[in-house]
Amino acid sequence: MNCREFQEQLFEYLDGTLYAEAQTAAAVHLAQCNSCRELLGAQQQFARIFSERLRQETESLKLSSRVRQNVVAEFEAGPISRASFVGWWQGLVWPAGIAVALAFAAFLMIGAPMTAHHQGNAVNQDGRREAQAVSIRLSYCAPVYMFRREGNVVTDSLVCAPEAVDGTIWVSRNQKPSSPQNQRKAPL
Amino acid sequence: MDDEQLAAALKRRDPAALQELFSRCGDRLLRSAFLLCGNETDAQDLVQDTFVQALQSIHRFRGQSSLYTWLHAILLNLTRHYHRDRRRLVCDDALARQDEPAADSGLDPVDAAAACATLKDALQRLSPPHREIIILRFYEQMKIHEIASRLGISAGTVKSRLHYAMNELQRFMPGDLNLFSGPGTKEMEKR
Repeated sequence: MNCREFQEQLFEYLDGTLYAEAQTAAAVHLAQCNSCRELLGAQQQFARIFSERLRQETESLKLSSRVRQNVVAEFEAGPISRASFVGWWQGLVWPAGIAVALAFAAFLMIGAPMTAHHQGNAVNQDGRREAQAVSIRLSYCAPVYMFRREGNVVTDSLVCAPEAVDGTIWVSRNQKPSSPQNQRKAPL
Repeated sequence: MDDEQLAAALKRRDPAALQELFSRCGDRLLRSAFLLCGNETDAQDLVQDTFVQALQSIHRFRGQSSLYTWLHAILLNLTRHYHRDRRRLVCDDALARQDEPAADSGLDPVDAAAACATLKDALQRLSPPHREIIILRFYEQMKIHEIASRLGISAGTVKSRLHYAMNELQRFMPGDLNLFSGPGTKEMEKR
């Protein structure tokens, strides 16, 4: 084992996790190489003093009673606590938004081509109405991602903007329902 | 009460078990969180979130590691989110630089190191991944393969990151901890 090989395995040597053969080769190299011995000593000294200093700098820290009380309150609230409910709800925002968007797109694609047909045939040759208008309102929440700048800080937020779409479906006794008019309204 | 018994009691929602968990892991987690984020208030909040998240998913604890190790993994994950959120909040580079210590805005690195009075300050000058690896190695006393497993990276990456982090730390270290002045250090730097 040469110096480079030893130094590549220095951390494992310190951990004592080298295979037996490599451990023996490292020990043989250390017995012969002064600079690697010094490097090993410096690493061990650094680890010892640094670890001790980290402990000294943090030993006065104690978990606050506020944190204990808050955790106890969450613990006593049960497995479905407020925090988990918020997380669950937030997890559904995007899937729900996508589902609503797809449903709305499907509604437009199916309803729009039939609109002209039924508008022209709402009254038959005898002057009687064959179709009946049914007004519908589709309400949904559209997720809106916003950025707000305050000084050098940008805060992002995800809000749910209520939207509504009004439409009219012409229902015929003999034909399939359709939607001749779709009108998107301003947010509620 | 060993870890498995404690986890079982927590699953039964035994209040005494929670107090036992606090006394066993609370302060230690807080100290680790403090070293990771450098702010006691944020560290307290991170530990609170760690406990809440752990208690909500205590049924997932399989006893394959100690409870502290399991909690610390959650803390590490939350700390990464914490650093990511802080990075996202500061968008203006020029203004962000104003928030950094004066040593980074013109002072010589030697002066910066001299001005760095505490180890905490030195740690806070490291990037989050470098700080994370230093804490795991020297505070949590983890072996290389344990760090690799915890962080989901290779042992080679751990050693490389640790090497660079230690070198970086030397620049900001208080004088009494500047141990790498012998010939061995020079060889290590060449590596």
